Amino acid sequence: MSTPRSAESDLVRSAQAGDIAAFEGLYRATVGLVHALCLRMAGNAALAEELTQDVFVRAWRNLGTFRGESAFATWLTRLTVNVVLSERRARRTREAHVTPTGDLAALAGAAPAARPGTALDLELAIAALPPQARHVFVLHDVEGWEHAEIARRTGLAVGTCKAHLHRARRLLREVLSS
Amino acid sequence: MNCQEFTLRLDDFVDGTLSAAERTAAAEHRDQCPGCRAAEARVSLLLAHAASLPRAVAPERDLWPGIAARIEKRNVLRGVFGGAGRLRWPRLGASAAAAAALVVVSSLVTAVLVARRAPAPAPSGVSTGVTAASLQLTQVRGTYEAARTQLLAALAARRGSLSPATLKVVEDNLAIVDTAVHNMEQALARDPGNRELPALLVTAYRQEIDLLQRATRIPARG
Repeated sequence: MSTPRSAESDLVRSAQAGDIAAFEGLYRATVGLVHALCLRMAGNAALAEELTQDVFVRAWRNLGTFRGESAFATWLTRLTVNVVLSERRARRTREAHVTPTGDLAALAGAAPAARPGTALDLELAIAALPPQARHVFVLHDVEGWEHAEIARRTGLAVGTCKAHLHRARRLLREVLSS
Repeated sequence: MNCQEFTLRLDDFVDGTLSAAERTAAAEHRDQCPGCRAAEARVSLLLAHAASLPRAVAPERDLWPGIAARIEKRNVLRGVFGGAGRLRWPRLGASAAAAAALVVVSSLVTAVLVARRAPAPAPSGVSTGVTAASLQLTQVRGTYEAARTQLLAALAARRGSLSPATLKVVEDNLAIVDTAVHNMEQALARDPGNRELPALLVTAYRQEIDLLQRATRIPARG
């Protein structure tokens, strides 16, 4: 799954020069990370696949902006978050007439009945969270981002991020303990 | 600290972001209160589960073929300006490009008018089928693609006569419009009944054709 840093640098340089085979190497090494993040943030498998493709197409186009100051996976993670949030904003506009309740009944209905407390249950419960609570929970508690960074990326205030995290944790605890 | 104050600070407490004084007060309350101790344990367990989730989850199918196809499509634009020499366009005269542009602009105007006159969506559960607007959009898309190809070829033929700075401006703008077209086509595929998207898409087509037309008329560097 991971690529040694020097080999990764070689692949990045070749890809930046237009070598699609090298870019495929980068894709193979990082697609799991990108897809996991898309899957958890989008909460939908089909959309996650579409977003994953979008991320790599955009990564190819923006490779010139990667200066190697961070690991390629770190750069790609930030790009992934931007792609997911942009898609969400666009979709929210289209679906303005649909108002998700985000209440516990909907959450419990989406969560599995068996094997409480397992990773699978947690994944499904995360997927059923209201979108903004899901985004903040995934970025903070799964990816390990700070509230300030999440606020910068999402355009929310830090206090709002904390409120979404609190709500997400409360809903998840209630579902996983039911 | 009482239970309500502890609950308000619980997230910051488990995240380790409370001040030293608040942390001490919260810890003292937790040690004396079984209910708050249990609440803290539940949050900590949740965080432990979240932290142990796999960082990588492979998609169920190989997404690379679709990505490669989209990259190749985008390379058409880069290829016009010599990016890694991926694509060579046949030389076409500016007159052919201008004629193609005239045709597509006429079609685009018609499509915008048809899209704006499109009837209201059918009631939920009733298939709308092929509408006048969607049919017109399909025809326009074909004309747009053909005109775009010819104009790109005309631009490719002029590549040597334009300055690198000019080429970059044109390339950047084409990439922006191309991305907008791509995003709107995707949105329309997901929401084919949307009445606004066809008009927006046609506007983006027109912007790209306008941009290409202007680019083919840029004076050669002296």
